[in-house]
Amino acid sequence: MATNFMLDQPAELRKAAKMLSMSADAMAQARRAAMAADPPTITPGEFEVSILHENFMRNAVTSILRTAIDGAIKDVQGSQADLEQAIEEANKKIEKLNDIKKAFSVFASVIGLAQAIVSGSPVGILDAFGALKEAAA
Amino acid sequence: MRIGAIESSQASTQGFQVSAGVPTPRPAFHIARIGLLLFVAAALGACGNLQAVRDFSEQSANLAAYKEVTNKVVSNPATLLQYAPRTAKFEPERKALEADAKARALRSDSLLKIHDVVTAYMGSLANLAGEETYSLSSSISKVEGALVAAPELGIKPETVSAFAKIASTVSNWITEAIQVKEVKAMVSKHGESMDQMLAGMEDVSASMLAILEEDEKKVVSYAEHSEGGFSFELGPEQPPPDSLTGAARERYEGQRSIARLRRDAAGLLVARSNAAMKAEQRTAVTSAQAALAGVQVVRAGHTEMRKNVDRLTDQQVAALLRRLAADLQAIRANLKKL
Repeated sequence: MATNFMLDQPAELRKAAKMLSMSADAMAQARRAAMAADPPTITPGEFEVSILHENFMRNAVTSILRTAIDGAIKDVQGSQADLEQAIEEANKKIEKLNDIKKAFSVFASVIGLAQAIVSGSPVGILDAFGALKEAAA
Repeated sequence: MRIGAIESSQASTQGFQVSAGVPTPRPAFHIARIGLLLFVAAALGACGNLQAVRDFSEQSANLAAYKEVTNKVVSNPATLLQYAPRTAKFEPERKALEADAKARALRSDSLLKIHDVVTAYMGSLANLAGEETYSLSSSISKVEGALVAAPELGIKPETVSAFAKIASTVSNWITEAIQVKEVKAMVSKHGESMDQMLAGMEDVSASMLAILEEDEKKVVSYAEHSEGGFSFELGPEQPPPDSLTGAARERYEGQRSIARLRRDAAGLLVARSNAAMKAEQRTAVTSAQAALAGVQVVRAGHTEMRKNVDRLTDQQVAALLRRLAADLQAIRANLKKL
């Protein structure tokens, strides 16, 4: 029962991984001390096997940590969907604001067109139409 | 005295001319009123300053370290495979590294998705709190420019400019209030999900750091394996037996010297190569520590924003967010130095 509870908790899994990692550290430390003696108090065969065992434990540590990551990924899935919706909502609001700003640009261009019409300049009217088209694009 | 009488007497002394019973403002009073309106609008506008929220959100949207660390975690088993001893005894270790590479790759998309959602959310919040996002000043200026440039329409440029200034100030005041409301709404509505997401991201970052620490220790053990061979005495290095004399003894001594020279040269090369691979793993661990610290700062800042959602423009909250934004900037600057 307690094990199942622990498997659901990334922090608890990390603690378990840390304990196993410390055991691997202790093994490495003992090997280094044996190798530091002159002559080494460990045979080449024992030395190699010790490194292998240390890494075997470290592979188990990594496996526990991967499970912790899986738990965290599972925990955030619901929030992820809600946040994606939040991002979409915010982007829509900003888009709406940009539309309002665009409306001002169109209005400014309409004034330019009105001026061109009042002054009766055909070239000015064409230019103002171009500017209006650009602002509304 | 009736209330109407008081109003009438005050109106006559405070800038109103009463003509045929209808009060009309005097020009001087008109200007004073505009001035007062501008002052009030500016003061209220300043109250709605979201710069600290914007700066913090912008910094939070740039959690590049997490992405780099994720990529390193995913690619590291392949690097470790290059360093792992190639003796037959280490075959299970190499197999385990291959399996680990596959297992990590399977999680890559989910891990990066967390980063993408968190940074996009903070980016959206920064955009929503953006200095120019809600401001219509530049749009009003465009209309002002068009009207000033159109004397044929019969509107005096001074009048246009005066009204544009009022319109710009009042609109900024109104839009800033809307902006604060929108930012508050986003933090209130989705804050809980973001807190959960950041808690998950912190969990993942802590686990990735622990994985990279384990990888580093593995590399140290591989280095030890390749350097360990130099700690044991080799046959040819033993002193020549007493029975060996003359030319045979000299040849033995020569071989012994060459063996030592070769061993020293090989040892030096192995040590250099090991130092480089250890340094690479140290950098990865340091980056993972920075990524975790960054996520923790973002989480702390977001928690504060949620806690103070009704006073996001408060000076104390702003000061705290500014400090956290500076912390995020410092973390990124340190990462660049790595």
